[in-house]
Amino acid sequence: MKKDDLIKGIDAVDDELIAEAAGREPKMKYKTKVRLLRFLTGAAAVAAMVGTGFLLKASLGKAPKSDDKAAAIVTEDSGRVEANTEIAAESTEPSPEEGTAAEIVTETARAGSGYEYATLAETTTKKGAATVTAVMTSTKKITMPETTVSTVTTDVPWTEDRPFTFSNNEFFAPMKDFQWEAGIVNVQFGTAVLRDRGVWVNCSYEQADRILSMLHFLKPSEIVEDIGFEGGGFTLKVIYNDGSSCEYEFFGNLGIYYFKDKDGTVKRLVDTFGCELDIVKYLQEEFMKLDPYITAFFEEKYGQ
Amino acid sequence: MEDPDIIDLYWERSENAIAETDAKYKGLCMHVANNILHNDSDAEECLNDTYLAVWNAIPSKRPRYLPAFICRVMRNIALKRCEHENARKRRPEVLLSLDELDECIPSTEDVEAACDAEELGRIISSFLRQQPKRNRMIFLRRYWYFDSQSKLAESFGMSENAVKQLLFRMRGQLKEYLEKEGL
Repeated sequence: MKKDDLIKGIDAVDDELIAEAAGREPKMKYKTKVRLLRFLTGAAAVAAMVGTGFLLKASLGKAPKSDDKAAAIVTEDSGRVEANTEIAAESTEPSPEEGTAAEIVTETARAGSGYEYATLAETTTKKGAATVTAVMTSTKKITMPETTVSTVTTDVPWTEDRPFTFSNNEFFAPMKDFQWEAGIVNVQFGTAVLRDRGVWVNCSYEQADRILSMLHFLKPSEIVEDIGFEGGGFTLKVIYNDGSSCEYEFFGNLGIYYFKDKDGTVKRLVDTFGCELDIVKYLQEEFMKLDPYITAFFEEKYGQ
Repeated sequence: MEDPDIIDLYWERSENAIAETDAKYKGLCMHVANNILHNDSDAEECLNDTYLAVWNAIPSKRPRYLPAFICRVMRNIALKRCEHENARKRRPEVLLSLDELDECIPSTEDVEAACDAEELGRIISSFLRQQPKRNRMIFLRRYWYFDSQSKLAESFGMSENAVKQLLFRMRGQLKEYLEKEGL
């Protein structure tokens, strides 16, 4: 056999396998942990994470000499951050409209897999534009010179109902990770964010409401944090009023969703709750829209 | 939009088919083309050629796996363009990954023996199906999609060395498998 024959043979591998290889990686070693949510005590200003239109670029910046860390200046383009870079973004700017200090939001985002994004802390207010101050710190190398800390101020226009957008066209890029992380940032304003492959996308009020309905169903306390979606399923860490907490792991396939209860038993969502949750339907629709291969993944991992 | 719906649009000769394909698969196509051409503008041109080719192919075809179908078209066009312009300028990753395949060639006496590509594709597919899903994905990402080893390591949460070792083992296994098949 000649090498050309072999190459042609590989070229002729079944479409099914080619399609599968274009799908999501079956196993991620890491577990993304994102700290995102803290409800506002005053409920005035909100700190939300990056929306699609506000991908920020950490570009060359001059580090403040007073700080040992390198600096990154955030601009309105997307930036590429290398794998395993951790970025912490903090927003500490008072809301100009509401006159109340904005919640400090800290995000530790795992950047990587070639995601073209950086992290931004964004404050939005009900009225008008909000001022954003993002401080980015990187504990590891970013694709930029020795930088790590910088501050940038930019205006973020408020949109009453920012359309929820997915980068569907990007999803099938084989190298892309698929992560969902959702959090309710502010109930009053109906602002929520979903995390789609490292990009925080604002939801509309209606979509936020759907997520809220799920959280309410689980009867969490007013604080919900550490919400991380991972690997096609997602995890909710709910902190109850008595201080106890529990991680609910959701996963599913073809509209049948499961979750792992406190005692570790796996239950079918529909059986447990007696109804399909809107958010589950919604996520399932989005899953199906985004990734037909995810069903194969679930079938393989959990059976049907 | 679901793939069958997109395919229906092609069959209806609706130009929305292209738009929907673009919305859903542009990222994947560009990834495939860029791995080969390493040039955004070339890749964009290939993308347009791909859409045209897919438009012309459906109908009469009704692909079962639309992304694979599109990728295959894109890949062929990109490889052809690459060879046409200057084979030496082909992205090193493509050459590297193809060179690695030397290790898979069975050491039969009859090196001139011709192999039917389709049959060989079936045998390789059969081999890959016996592999764990992750392994076969890595194999195809490397030798079909031409992803770099570092990229694979990043994507699969492995060290680059682990990826190299895995591919090395798989090449050896494939060679044995092909020899068992009498190739």
